[in-house]
Amino acid sequence: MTGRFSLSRRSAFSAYAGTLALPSPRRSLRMVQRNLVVYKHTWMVIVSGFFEPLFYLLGIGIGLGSMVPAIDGVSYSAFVAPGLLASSCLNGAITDGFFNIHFKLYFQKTYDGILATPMRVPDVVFGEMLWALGRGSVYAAAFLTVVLVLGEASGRPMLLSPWALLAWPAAVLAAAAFSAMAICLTTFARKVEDFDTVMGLLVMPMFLFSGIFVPVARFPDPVQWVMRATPLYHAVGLLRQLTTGSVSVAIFEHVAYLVVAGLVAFCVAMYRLERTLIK
Amino acid sequence: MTGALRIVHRNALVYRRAWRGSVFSSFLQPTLFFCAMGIGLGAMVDAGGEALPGGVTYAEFLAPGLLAAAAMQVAGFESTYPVLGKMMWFRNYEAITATPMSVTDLVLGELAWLALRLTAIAVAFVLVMTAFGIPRSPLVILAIPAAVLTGLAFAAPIMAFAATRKHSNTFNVLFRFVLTPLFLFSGVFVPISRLPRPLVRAAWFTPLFHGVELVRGLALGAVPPTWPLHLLFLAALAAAGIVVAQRTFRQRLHS
Repeated sequence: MTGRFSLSRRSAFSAYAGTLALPSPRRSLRMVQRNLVVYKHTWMVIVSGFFEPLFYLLGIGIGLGSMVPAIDGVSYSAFVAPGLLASSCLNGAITDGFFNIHFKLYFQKTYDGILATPMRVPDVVFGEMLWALGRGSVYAAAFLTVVLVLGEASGRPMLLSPWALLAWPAAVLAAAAFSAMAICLTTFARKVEDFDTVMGLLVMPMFLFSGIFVPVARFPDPVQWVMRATPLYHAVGLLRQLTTGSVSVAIFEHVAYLVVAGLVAFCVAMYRLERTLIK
Repeated sequence: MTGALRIVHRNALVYRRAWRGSVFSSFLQPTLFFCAMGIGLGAMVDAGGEALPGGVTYAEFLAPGLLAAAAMQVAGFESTYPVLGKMMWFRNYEAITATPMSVTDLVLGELAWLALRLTAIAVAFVLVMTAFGIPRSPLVILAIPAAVLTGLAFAAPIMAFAATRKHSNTFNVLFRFVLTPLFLFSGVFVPISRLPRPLVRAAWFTPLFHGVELVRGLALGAVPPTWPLHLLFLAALAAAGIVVAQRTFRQRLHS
């Protein structure tokens, strides 16, 4: 009797340890490979994601920017550019993390198929993160290049300091944190309509009120507190410090926020997906 | 005609259960854009001292443009995924046309229902504008039908296109490469005269530009002398869309 008891205790323990298992890099890369193969059929959707911030940069940053006076000595287009880079990191994370993963979870049952192989849930989550990271870095590099070329060509540079070189890894960090958060939120969504609510109540207000277009300091205090709590605010702050070269100690606060929030979201996502997928 | 009304009735019954999600996207979005861009950024634009057409403030300039753009966006969304869904995924249209309902009833009914929804959104946004003291003329009442017409000028052709699709992939491309650039370069945010010359010419061939001119003129009491052209362009596009949509719907449903 005691023997059986201890045996079941042990297997319960090993099952628990299984939940906490670290992802294997080799198996996670298989997930990336799978997404790359699928990408061949959906590349247009992904490539088009790069143009959205570019259109905003041209229309609002440069077009409307010609009517806006400089902010703290920074031209309006140079002010908006890093903000749009941050929002493109967010957009990418949302396309992949919300809709794609939701469809793979509940409609296409992709993960059920994958988990029938030696792949485990941590590999899947980490693999999806790696994929998002790869895509985010390509987006960020492309956007920064366009910003550099446009700025130099128009004679109104938008990258104002050599610190801007660090904007690329910083954008990748933001993309990683956002995708962890997006995957985490997806595990709470039950139906596609839930995303409408998230997009309308969270993403759209965040896009407009995180200091991308208007300095946060211009809003009333209580509104500012809410803004400062959002992840997009910190990504914008981090990238703007680097591209404008006005780097201050506050940069550590932004980095710390993104790292901690990203890690917490990653762990929650892994835990919840394990429970959803392994019954 | 009664057939079209039955489609409207059917959609109203469905909408009773699904209106919550659409409130955010349709009405809240332009309001949030107005608060962030019109008021927040507007204060900075006005401080810059660059003159806007008619000597209005930036908030006054932006709000009517956002109304026209909101009509475009709602119309664009409602005539893509939901249409393809009813055509292909849920096959509602197949069921509907198996009754005495004709394809013409179906197309007109769908558009009439959309016109109703656009009216509700336009009324709500005009009320928001009034709360901020934007409208400068009672003609703003006519900005509501003008916004609805703008929406229909997008909805009918897009619906005709959606009926020919086998996948929803193209819709993303349509939104990102057609609707987003129109949103940003049709004079909603920046007076069209400040754009590079080729873009100014191109704007005359895009429906949102005409919608923005009409709605803004009516809301600010300065209707441009070119208004019959704007009206004609939008009406012609909607009418052409209705004709083509009947063809593509018929082809898809009877094949």
